[in-house]
Amino acid sequence: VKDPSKPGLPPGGGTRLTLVVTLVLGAIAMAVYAFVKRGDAVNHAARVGVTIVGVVLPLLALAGAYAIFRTLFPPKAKHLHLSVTNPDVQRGAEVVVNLEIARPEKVGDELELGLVCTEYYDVQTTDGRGNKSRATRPEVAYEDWRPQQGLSSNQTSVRFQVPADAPFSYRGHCLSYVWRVSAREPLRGRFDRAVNLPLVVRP
Amino acid sequence: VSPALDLQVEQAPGGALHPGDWVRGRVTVLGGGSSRALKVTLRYRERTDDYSATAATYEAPPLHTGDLVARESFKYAVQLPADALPCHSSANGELYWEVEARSDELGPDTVAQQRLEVAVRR
Repeated sequence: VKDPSKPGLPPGGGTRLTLVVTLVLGAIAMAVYAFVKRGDAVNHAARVGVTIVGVVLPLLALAGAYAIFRTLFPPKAKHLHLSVTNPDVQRGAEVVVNLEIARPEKVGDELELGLVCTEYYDVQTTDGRGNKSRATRPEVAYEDWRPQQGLSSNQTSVRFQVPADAPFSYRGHCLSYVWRVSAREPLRGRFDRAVNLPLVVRP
Repeated sequence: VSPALDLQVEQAPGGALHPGDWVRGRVTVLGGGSSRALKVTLRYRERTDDYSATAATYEAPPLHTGDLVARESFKYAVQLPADALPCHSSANGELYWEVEARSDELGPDTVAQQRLEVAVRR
């Protein structure tokens, strides 16, 4: 059984990172190919078409790569500092999360502190040609978010309780449970800025 | 001819087993057959809708070596590790313990399994 306290990418993270690299390299290759082959176009319209394809497709690929990358590494809320009094707890125990705000003027109205457990589970996916592949999907198994509006000081502490019947930290072959404490600032239409700290929950 | 096995587990006092407990029971040969060895193992398993895996295996010494004869019966006892993780079930998967009796054969083995309820001591 793998040690759940060892840091690293979330389950399935390696595959997603590989996909990001592939998309970025593909975008560069498409752009270079379109630029080099532009001169071979039979007429002006074809040249314009190749130029558009050489710009639009790489941009789409880069946007996809960025979106996948951000699911692995959300934008950091650098003005927030999180700490936990005990990062290794038993189920049923309390977790005290301390939040320090370095630059209060940067904090929005929707700051939240949370205790989250994500379940990562493997599924078999089938593409349009019937090819089967294995993918790891995340789903929230437990979450407790507390809004932090109107803070009177630059520091606050919030107590969370890990439910006694919640999943425990586990890193398996096809099923994992990963706990974290998090401070996030939800942003409409953009990736939430967040600071995450891993938490180990023992059975 | 492959043997047929029946695997029984003694009920734990209180319903669930705990880390460090002994899993005891009996393997009965319902139909005799060729076998190299009869073994009992404890396995910690993971399962999602599409995949499954064994995270840990704890094997007891073979209960018997050689062919199995009908109506033979073997007692077994395997200890759960002191740091055994408990069973857990969630929306998309489960973690559970099982005890498995396996007749090691030339070709596909004959297997009998039973799930175990393992919980932590509170």
